[in-house]
Amino acid sequence: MARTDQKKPNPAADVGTEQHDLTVTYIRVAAVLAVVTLIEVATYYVAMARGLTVSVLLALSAVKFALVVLYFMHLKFDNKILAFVFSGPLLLMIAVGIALMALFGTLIYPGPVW
Amino acid sequence: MAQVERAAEHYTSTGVHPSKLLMWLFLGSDCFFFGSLIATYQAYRGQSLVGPHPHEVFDIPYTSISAFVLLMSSLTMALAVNSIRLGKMGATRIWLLLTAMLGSVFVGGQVFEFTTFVHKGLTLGVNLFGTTFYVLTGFHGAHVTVGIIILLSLLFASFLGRLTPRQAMTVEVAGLYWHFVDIVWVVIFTVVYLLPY
Repeated sequence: MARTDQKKPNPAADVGTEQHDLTVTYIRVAAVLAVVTLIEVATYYVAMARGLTVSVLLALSAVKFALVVLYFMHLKFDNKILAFVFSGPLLLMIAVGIALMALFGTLIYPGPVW
Repeated sequence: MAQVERAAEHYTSTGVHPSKLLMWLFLGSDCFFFGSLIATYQAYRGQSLVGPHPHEVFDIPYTSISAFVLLMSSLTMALAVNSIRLGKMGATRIWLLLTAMLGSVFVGGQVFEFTTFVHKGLTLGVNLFGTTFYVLTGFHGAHVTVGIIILLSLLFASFLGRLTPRQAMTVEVAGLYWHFVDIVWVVIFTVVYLLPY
């Protein structure tokens, strides 16, 4: 007997784009990624307070990460369970990383020993 | 009726294709893998007692170009997925080949970078920086290499007629892996190369 509580397959949602040509969208996202990368590298060479440099670089990196995941990997349009499957381990790993750095005393960076 | 049965075969109860769900689960687990390596690098950041130190070996302009090449390979990969969905096999082949080529440029650049660093005295065991740097970036390079092999396999499969628009999901799943490798480098580039020491 067929199960009635199963969700129906939804290939359109799975593919996420219903065969629309997304070339222009992808090129726009890539252009933004290129500009953000340029700003990142420029930030490296600009003399700023260390805390400010770190904050700006991490924020720019997060923007690039989000753009690739949301648009190129289609997580913005895809089934929400996939976002949960990916963001769960990602957030947990960030927490573990912060805990590890705190344990080693490098969360608030003491500066190089050399 | 036959279509419904085939669809029930190929889709999980969530409505997500099993290959895609499995790839996302794998990428979630890979977050732990790379997260551990990045966290270890950060835990030992600036703690090497002997050189060479990062500022003595890093070539930021060179690595920036390398990072840009990998970033643009994500664009070509997205265009490959877009093309096969639209049924354009010729364009799919071109984008897959271009993605593999850009990936190869990145890996080649990494080999050159490693060679240069070794000549400057930075080996795997010379200090904490060398160990954590080579393990982290080396594993990433290995992931990119696996990605290139997957892309070339898809390309050959398309010439053999085994990759058609009906197998668009296969290219999409390969694309997820490729994009993940790219976002890992986005993080590594910032954390390892750009953050001040």
